[in-house]
Amino acid sequence: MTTNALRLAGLTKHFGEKVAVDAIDLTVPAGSFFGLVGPNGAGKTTALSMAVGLLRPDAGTAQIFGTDVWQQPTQAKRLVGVLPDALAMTERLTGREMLTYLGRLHGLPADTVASRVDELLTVLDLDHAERTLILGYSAGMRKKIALASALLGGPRLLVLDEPFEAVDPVSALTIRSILRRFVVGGGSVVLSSHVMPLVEQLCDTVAVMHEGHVVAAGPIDEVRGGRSLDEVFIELVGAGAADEKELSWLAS
Amino acid sequence: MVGVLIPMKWHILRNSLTGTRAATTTSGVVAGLAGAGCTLWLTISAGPDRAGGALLLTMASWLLGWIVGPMMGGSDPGLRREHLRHVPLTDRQLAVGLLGAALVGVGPAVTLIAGTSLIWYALRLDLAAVPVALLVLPLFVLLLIALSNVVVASVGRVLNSRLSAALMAVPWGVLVCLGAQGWVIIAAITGGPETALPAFIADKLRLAPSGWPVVAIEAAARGDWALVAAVVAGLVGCIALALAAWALLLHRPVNPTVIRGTRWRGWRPATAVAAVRGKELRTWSRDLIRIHFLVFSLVYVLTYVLLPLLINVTDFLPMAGVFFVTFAVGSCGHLHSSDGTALWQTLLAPGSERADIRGRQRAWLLLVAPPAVALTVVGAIWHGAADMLPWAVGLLPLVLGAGAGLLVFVSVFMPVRVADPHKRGNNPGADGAGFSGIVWFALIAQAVLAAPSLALLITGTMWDDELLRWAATPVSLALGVALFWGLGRLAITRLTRRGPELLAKLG
Repeated sequence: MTTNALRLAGLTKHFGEKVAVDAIDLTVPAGSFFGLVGPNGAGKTTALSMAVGLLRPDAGTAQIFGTDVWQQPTQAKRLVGVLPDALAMTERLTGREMLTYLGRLHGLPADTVASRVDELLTVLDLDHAERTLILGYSAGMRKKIALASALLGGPRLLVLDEPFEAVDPVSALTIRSILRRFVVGGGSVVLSSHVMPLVEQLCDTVAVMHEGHVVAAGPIDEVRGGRSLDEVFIELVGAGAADEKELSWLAS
Repeated sequence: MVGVLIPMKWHILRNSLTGTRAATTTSGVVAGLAGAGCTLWLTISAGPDRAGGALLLTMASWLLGWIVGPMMGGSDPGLRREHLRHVPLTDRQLAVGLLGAALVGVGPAVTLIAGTSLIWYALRLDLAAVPVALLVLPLFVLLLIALSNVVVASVGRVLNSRLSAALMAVPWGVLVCLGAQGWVIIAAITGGPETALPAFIADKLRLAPSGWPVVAIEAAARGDWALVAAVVAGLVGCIALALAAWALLLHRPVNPTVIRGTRWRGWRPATAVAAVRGKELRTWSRDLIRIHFLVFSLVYVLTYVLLPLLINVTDFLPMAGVFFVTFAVGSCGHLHSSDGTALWQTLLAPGSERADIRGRQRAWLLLVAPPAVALTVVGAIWHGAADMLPWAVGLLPLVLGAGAGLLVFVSVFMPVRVADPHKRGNNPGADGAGFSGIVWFALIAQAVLAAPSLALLITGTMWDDELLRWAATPVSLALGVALFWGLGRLAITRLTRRGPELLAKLG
């Protein structure tokens, strides 16, 4: 009956005095490629962490395919694959070891784990670093192995926080094609990003966050209204270019 | 630069006084003040002819404390070289600046308080010695702090392979143990602070930098101003030397150590618990800080049981295994803390909390139980007599079971925020901050948990009742199994219910 991959209602988080996320409502239709954009500190990471069960909200609910993340975490977490931004991983395992470990931790059969790990490492071009620990991975490799671990459980929804940050163009192309194929195959993706052209290229639905609020959301063409996403974004978050008088000492 | 860094450190210190860190700092203050109080009491209560000896001993302990303290996880949250990487500073400016910043903290404050015993000693000897005491005291504190930082920096430089991580633990284990046990031995020789220190020990202690302030004060009281000047020059020279060494060590940032994984041999864990166990065992063999702390426990305990051989006491030998496990719990109890934010992987694997805890417990047992059993067997054979057997056999299953329970309990309930593995180095001196609280808690908790068996052993020994002594073994077995399971259960429940909160504390 439900067709929403992710539904956030009244989700709120305070850090001391600061309201990081202020009662946001957000609906991600199943099968959509959803982009969450916003300036630094807008609350994107906080909102996504609450949505997948990593950060307990002060108020509000998060549902993945109709299952409440905080009431029925076990059922909800089976449906989602997550790529968090800047968190550690099981650093002292190699990529293959970590995926094997995570596959078994997720309760997948050993044979399934072995074949999926093989395939993921090959597709993401990580199979040449067989003896390198995650700790020694470059920033781009870290993103790719994190994506592999998000895909491993065969989720219906992917929640990706800044998946393209520090990723080289070749790897970015690989990741993009994997995500596109995932959506074509019936999966849903939520990703956060700073890079507007990328969101325009990939996503069919967007939401703009600013200072803990969702200031615009909907199909990308509706939100854009015939302009570029960049222009709309800057107008919405009210950023201005530096005045000529400012920083006059710079390179003078 | 010092003028900027000192207020900065002060702000860092003030802002970091929250949560576990505040508790650690408070316990640090209490322990430090207790140490300072002891120093003052020993100096003041000792008779006039013995005060010098007492001072020589206590100042030597402060020197030892400053050198080994940071490696035991006693360092404070502070400024690091990495924070200033992009500020254009010469190495010397950096060293002087960081030394200034290091002056702001609990350690220097309590050391200064303890050092006032030097002034007391000078007052007692001769009024003319007081200005000398006032001069050498701050110099001495400066020297301790500079030396301590040189040690931490050089350990970071040396510690770059598994072998060096293990080898570095050897002098530390021996030093810390001598600090704890050596005191007892000196007391045994001298008959406590009531007796004067034997001249041959006092002479050696006067030669160490920790003895120089005492030498200067005594020289001033005798009117030997040339010696006073020489000692002051020596202190200043040593500080300059330590600073120069520090500047040299700061010059080149340490390259991250590359530890390679083993060749893939088709690892297929049968269950989720087995997967965690495999992950943990691999981590134990590849994390230099974990290796260091584990070997440290082993060396400490070996020193502890072998030292009494000097006075032909072999009674401790059969207990080596028990002591090793007891010590290893505290020095390994930071499992989740040192994994840092990697906890999200467990939290997002539905229902994996049980596997996480049980797997960690089993991996740890696999790691410590074989050497513990071997130590016990070898120790018992070496000792020869059977009198210690009920103690060793009666406590080993308990410390193993309770230890594996306590390990995960502490890990989940007492998180300490450290930099994530991919953002930190391999230096236990710089990255092991705040683990000392865990070590102490684990030691005390184990003594409490072992109380039933200990009671049987003690009463059995007092009444010379063999049956009562051996009754401790089944009690220990039952208690060990129960605590392994029960404390693990508590950790699982906590992780399941409050996992996100734990992640927030670690992030």
